[in-house]
Amino acid sequence: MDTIQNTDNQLNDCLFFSSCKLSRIIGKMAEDEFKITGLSPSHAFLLHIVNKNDGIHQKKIGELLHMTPSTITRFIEKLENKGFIRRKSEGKNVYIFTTEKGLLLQPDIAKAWRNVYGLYADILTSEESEQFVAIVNKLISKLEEKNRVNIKIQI
Amino acid sequence: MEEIFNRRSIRKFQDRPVEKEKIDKLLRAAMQAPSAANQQPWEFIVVEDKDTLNTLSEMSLYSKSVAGSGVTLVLLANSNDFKVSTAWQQDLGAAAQNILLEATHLELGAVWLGVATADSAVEYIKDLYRLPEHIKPFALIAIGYPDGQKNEFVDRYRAQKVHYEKWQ
Repeated sequence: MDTIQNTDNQLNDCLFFSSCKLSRIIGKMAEDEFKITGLSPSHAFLLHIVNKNDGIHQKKIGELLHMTPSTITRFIEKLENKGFIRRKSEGKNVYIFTTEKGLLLQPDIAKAWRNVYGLYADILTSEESEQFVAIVNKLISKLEEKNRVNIKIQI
Repeated sequence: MEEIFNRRSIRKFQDRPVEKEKIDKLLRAAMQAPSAANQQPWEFIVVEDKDTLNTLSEMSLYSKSVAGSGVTLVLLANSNDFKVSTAWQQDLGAAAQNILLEATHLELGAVWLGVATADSAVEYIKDLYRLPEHIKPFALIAIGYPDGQKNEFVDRYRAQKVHYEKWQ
């Protein structure tokens, strides 16, 4: 018999496709859960980092969140306009500080985060969850290394 | 039975129609197949029109041979006939094999093209014929007079596939 497979089966063997799909699905669900904070998950993560690290260097936030400096600046401006954080420039260095209003949002951020965890907690065992995160982090760091080498070669 | 041993998938056909009597024989052979609780859930669309054959041949990457066939049979199942609903693919499989063997016997060549094996192919056939929900596409069988290829014996016997009395 001559036949094709379901496209689903072909694509699900592809790490790139599966990770994009997962990112879309979980991203959408996380957005819904974070609605209680009035912020997008990315903004909420940024605020969380500042709340836990008062006076953190802006560059450091970019590293933690895997965002380019221009994106971080945009995010920080938005959060500052809403009064959730405070910026302090010292020459070239920018430091970010907590505000009362920002700290008040912390319980909601923690709650939304827990809810997101709850979405997949009963699908994967805690062991599977840990393994998955470990594998994903390994991929991220190795791919970043490769990416840096490529950028150097281009220069 | 020589037809069983000589039958091969034939994918290239002469530009020559298949006689009405032979098509009739193929359909009769199909309907002699065993089926679960004798439910005979099959339905067939006989396609000889060149334009339709061309359209059918675009179902998937592997259905090109339909375009050059003298006749292609679209095998469908009618769920209103189901007595054992889990068996319809097996019933249709037996009908498909009967068609392939009868085609060999009639000096025709044929190839079995899976439809129920892929959702995209199922949708393609459903759309093309505007099939109602209770009619389920199963397969296409492209048939014609072989061009170049022929039905000849290749030994597919594998002794290690046979297990006597127990698994190991």
